[in-house]
Amino acid sequence: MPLSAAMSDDLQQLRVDHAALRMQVALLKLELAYDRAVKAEARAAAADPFEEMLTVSAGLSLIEGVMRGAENITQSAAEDHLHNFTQQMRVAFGLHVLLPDEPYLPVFLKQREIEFLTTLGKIFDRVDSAPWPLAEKHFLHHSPMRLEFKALTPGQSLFGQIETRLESETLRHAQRLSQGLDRKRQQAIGLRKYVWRTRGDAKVRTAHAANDGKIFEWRNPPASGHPGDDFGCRCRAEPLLDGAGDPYFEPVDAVQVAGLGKVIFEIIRRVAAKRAAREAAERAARDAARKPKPPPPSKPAPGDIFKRPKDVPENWRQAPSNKGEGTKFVDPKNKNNDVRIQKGNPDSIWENQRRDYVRWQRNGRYLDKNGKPSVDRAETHIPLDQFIFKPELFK
Amino acid sequence: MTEKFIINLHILIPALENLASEARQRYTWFPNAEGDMSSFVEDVNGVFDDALVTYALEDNQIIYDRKVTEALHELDDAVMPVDEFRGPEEIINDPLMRVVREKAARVLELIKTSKREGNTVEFWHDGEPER
Repeated sequence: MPLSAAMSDDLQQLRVDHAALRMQVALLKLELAYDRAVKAEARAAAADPFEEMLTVSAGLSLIEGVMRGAENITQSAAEDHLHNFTQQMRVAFGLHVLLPDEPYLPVFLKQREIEFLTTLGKIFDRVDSAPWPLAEKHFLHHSPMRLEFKALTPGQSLFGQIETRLESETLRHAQRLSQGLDRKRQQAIGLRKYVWRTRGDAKVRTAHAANDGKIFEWRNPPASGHPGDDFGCRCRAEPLLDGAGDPYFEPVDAVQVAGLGKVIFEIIRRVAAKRAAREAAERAARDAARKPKPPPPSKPAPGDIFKRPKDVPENWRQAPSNKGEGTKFVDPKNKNNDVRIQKGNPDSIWENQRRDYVRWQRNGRYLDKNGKPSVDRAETHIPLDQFIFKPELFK
Repeated sequence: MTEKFIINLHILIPALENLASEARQRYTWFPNAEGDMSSFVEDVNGVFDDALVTYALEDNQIIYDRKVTEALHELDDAVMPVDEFRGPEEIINDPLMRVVREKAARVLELIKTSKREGNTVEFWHDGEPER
């Protein structure tokens, strides 16, 4: 099933509804401010400096309302994208991926917000008349965004003039934001390729229809550019993981990573590789159990790297250690009694960990090679060739 | 009879402290004045094997409380992809270790504030049940 189809229609609709709701709030604020400004304008006709200030205040209030609306819509669309993106990753890779560390995000969102405001400014600019020249002047002097706001004709319906255009621009803004975040977030976790997906309706332009279903690299865009590069483009980039067809990329354990978007992909790879190795070992063990004469394994299973040391009771359970290719033998009556043998690490800073070594415990206390409890870590790392198990300690 | 799962605190806490702190790693994973000798492998095995956390997690036991238990599961996931057959400097600088340190620190923080609601294990210290 294509990912675009797997994405929840309900969520998509919710995002649109949410953006539309916020737009309506912004519109209400606009209308209120407009009414106040019209009244102020009438009073300002008396050339009262105080009333003139009120006019300026009303105009600024309106503009600030638009700016807050744009900011809210932008933030809301970004949050919705994050939700959809994590859903996509779960559907695609069976992983719950968090992206808490996105240093590029504030600047990216602010750029998009300014673009949106500029578009809104142009909408208002097309409406005739300029009842708030002071407000405009004041704003132009104090705002780095240079939003051109030439206001409206008194008495003319605000909704009637701008509602349709504002709605389409709001949806287009949310669409562009999502397309940009697709690219940012996919690249942030190391995805290099994507599948081009169109909306599949009659409005799709020919060049984009030709791209539908094809795989492209982020660093090597097609002639048409990436989804969203063309004006009004509604296409999306569906995330693609190299090797996604590999059965070991099927659902694995949840991986939650905080603050390290760049390494998430590496974690996915390593977890998947280790999972694959473990499953291969388990399959080999199952096959071996079924066959009357199993072929000898080329490499010992993780728990069989080391043989049971002499005199370790046969009923002590043998299992792999958690880390570092080791084998442990555990007293079934008291798990606080065990012998753990670890493979040496040639790169270890410690001489007694460069070759195979043993750590053993009695009642949860580490023992030295003579079987005495010790807190000296050097004494309790015993070279394997010097280890002698003392069964009398565990009777 | 239902098996009682034991957690060795005298092994668990120092090993968690080492995994949670780069400064501790730079001290205990290298020669130091106190002869306090450890490594990534030993600290991970200290938490999960020697402190007996793995057995409890595998049996769905609650260690301290559900939050601590979940945080230990997350730490277990975080250490898995780290390649241990390297020198300590390389392991410390591995970006994956940032995750491990965050997860281990989270476990310690949750342990400090835990009210042990729902705890199903028995805590031991230095060979004796905790009093």
